[in-house]
Amino acid sequence: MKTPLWYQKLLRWTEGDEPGLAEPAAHVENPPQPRAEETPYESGPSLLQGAGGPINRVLTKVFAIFSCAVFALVMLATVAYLPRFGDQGNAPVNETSRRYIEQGVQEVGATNLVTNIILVYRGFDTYGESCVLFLGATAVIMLLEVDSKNTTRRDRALLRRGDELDRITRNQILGHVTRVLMPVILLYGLYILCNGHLSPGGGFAGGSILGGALILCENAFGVEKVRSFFNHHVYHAVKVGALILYAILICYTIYVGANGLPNIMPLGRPGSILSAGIILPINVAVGLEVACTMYAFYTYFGRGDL
Amino acid sequence: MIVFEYLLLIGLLICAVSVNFTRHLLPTVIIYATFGTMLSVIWLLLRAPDLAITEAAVGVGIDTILFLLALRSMRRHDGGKGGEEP
Repeated sequence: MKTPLWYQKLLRWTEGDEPGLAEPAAHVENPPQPRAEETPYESGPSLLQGAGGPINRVLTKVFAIFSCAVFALVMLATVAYLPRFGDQGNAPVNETSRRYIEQGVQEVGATNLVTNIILVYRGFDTYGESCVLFLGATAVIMLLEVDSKNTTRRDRALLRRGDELDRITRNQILGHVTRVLMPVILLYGLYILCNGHLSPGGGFAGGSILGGALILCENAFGVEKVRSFFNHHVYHAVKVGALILYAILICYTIYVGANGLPNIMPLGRPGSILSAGIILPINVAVGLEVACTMYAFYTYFGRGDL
Repeated sequence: MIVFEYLLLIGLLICAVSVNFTRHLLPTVIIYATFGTMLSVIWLLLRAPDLAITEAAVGVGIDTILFLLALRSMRRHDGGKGGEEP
């Protein structure tokens, strides 16, 4: 069967044969080859596939099938313990959801009930998720950052040459299409971000659309263009600032709610854009956090630098 | 509409099972993206548009990019032979 052209191109790209980063590697006598013997990656696959003869391989397969079966059984048993869907008997579940549906709009002020629940009623959980994102991005930076301490001069020269080659062979069509599309994408992302308390969407979805827009910008115009408005300082300021803003807002809400104090955040008229108290600022904070994290993942996986 | 839903569910099953039988990693990523697209349409049909938007943006868009980049940097570190089944 003939494989389509786009698949062949994608395969070549993932194998690093496309003119991009790997082209200069071919010029300098294939640098990855001598390192391949001493890299710890060698032990990885052999450990997974059973280092020894055929008996080990069979054992590995048996163990894989066994663990899959046990996991599936545990999951199915857990499902069997869940209460029946829509049953009158499971009162606690019904009470909570009825409270959310009937009084959510008066108590919190957002017409999108899902946002009400995940950002205010269950706001502490969502704050934990944001912290997980922050920790994930920090771990990626720790593991994948390329600086003068963990690379040789030749590697850095290769990276610079790859950037230069990238600039020369940049795709003109992609640039022009991006110039037309970028305002639309940004507007869509901002709409989903800021309208999260009125319509489906919110911080996570809008933030990942904004992050995707940044990734597209990096691909179309090169990394220097993105660095001119989004460098290390902006990244750290936005990321830490958004997380701290979120923490302050959620702590304030929990403190006020637990002590029965009056909440000074105005709830506004349900349905207007400036309403629902803390939800709009929290959505913006979550969106900025997610956008920064997505772009940082992309750049650190790709080139090891922001 | 219910037929469409069943078709999507069958497609999900086919994708989830066929991941186990692919020998290379790139088709796995493509199948995963297909899985996410169908799942986001199913969320939409089940009237969960919040989840549908998030699945389409994060699960299909960002995750696929990250997987492809990880695949690429794996090849670069391994000299082109790691990560593949023998």
